[in-house]
Amino acid sequence: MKNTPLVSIIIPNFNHSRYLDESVQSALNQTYENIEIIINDNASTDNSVEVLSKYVDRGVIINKNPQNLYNFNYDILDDWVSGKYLLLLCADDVLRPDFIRRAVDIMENDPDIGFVHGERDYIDENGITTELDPFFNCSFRAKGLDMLPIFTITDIGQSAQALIRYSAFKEIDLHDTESDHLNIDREQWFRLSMVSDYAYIRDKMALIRMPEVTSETTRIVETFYHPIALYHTAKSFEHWALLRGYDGIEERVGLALKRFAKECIGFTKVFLKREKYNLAKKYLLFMKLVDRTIEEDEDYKLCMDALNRKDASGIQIDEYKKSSNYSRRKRNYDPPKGYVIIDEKGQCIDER
Amino acid sequence: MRDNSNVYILIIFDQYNGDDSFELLDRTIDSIHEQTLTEHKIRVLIADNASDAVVYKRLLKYEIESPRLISVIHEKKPVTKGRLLKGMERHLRYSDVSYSVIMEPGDVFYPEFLGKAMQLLNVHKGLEFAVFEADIRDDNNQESAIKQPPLFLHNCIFNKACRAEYYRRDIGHKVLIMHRKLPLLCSKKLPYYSVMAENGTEWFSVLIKDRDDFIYSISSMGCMADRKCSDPIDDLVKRAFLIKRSLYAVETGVFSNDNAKDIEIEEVKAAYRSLACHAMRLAYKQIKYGDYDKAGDCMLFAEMMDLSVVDDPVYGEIMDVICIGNISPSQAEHINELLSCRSAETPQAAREY
Repeated sequence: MKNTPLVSIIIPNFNHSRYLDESVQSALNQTYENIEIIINDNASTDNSVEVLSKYVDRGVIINKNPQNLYNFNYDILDDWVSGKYLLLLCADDVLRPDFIRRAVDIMENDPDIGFVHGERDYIDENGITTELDPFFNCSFRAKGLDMLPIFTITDIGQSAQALIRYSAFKEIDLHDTESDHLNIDREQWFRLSMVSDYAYIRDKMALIRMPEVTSETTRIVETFYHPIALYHTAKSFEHWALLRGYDGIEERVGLALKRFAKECIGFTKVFLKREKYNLAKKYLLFMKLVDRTIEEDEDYKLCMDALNRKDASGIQIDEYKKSSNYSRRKRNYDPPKGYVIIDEKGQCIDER
Repeated sequence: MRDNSNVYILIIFDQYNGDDSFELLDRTIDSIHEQTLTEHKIRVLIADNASDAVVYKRLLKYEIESPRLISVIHEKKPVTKGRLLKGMERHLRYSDVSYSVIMEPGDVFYPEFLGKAMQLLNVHKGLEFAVFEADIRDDNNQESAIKQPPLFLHNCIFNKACRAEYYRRDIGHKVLIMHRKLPLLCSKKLPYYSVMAENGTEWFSVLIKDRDDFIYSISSMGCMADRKCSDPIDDLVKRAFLIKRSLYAVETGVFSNDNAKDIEIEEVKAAYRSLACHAMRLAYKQIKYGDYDKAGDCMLFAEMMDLSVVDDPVYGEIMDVICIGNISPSQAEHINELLSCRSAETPQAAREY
């Protein structure tokens, strides 16, 4: 064990006592042994500390902030983290037992890799899981910069799905961010992709809690918050990267926004089907704003036509039942060009 | 009783643009030297965002020339503007100053500003900040200050009931003076502090959202530099993001809290209407610079924020100009007239002083 690098699992918590047992036990049950677990409690008012206290005997440390520090928590991480690698596990999410071991193997094999994403499924508040399509069609490693535009896409990875090299994390100064809590993961991937390379494990490595009844996704999409906040995050990142003197950023961010605009067509079709014409129009205006060439896109034209006629009968979408369908799209995307297919240890199988 | 109050002026020296930056900074520092308030009551903190050694040394000369008045803090690596302010706040926390003011190079205070502002806040104990009218100096016309019509016709004290006025009117480009505890309180509360610091208007929204009464004065107390916006959509998106964040609870119907519950949906509509009007003003500005593509983007944004803006006569006029790619002097005058803001009566809930 002493020859393996230390991994710090930080569990930020605010009133999630209901899920804490599952979350902490998933960290304790990792097949990788050299792990420290630190709970960063943001002034919870429920019985979180009581739930957590039973794990103190197993080496878990509980740090309770006197008030919710939001993003400023990133500021004080350095006071706690001793590991070479870091994983931020949300208090309601769950890790699969092999994740840390496999991610460490990959990163130890290639010091240029700054972060590894594992695949995930959703779990609701009652513990019912929903299987998701894997995001990519193979396990691979790729240049960080090539990944940047892809990170604009919703749901590629949340914090519990990523093991991060702590030296890379320190380089990105995530405490100095303008992103909101819904986009800070995305900004994290953006920034990490500037300072390091990336690897992806196509196997299911985490369960992300996605309550069905109170799906935030629905709200942010249907109040038009999502495109505004994401555009804001992308431009804030661009500003940060330009300040740091990184090259080719405007072009990459432009590509990222275009990719996101294309993604918005899916939402727009749903709104048209549900006769939410004003909302559909806003999305179509947004798409045009970030990508003038989208006017030539067949799907875009179809949506415009349906909007003008106020008749979406010609538009095909998968049956729309629940909000989380926004995340149940077909995935299995190709990785970016120049990727390397890897095995469990991170060894190259094939170069593309 | 002896008045011991004093003031911290925070100047954000964010981006170095050659000698112009120092010309603008000189103008700002000169206006501080010219204050009628005795200089020993003033402290100036210049935040330097990781300039190179040459620029840093040049900044330090200000400190050397006025050691009692000026301090320079230097960031080792570039940070966002919000982070710069946060760093400056540390000084505020450990100092004994009573009030603080934020400036950027090029902003100028008129000589009586600090004296009058502090007197006003001392008289109205319990009020935490005051907003004064300001003139604007266009970045293309650095020498002349352009008078702006005041937002309201009378001096008044606003309370929470007048909050909707914020959403109806753009309160950017004004001169603000705050009690020291206000930025400290806000930064503790706000996870998005750095964004708020970027834009005077949104700073104001935060203040007005969380606090109670404040003073509004129709007297123009400074001349704010109206910097050319290199990416107007960036600016608009930032404003939209902040409005969306501040009204998140109202729009989504969740996370309701005391701050959100008494915001009316009308205020939300007013906020987007105001933003759409701002987008049209930016479009007009881009037309003046001859950038019709960017003007078109601004108009798209205006429509996206408020679909009904297309019914506004000025929308049609600007779109006509963009289609033709040319604007006549009479058209320019007419559009300018349509876009200009007029002073409003004091809101009913406010009290005049």
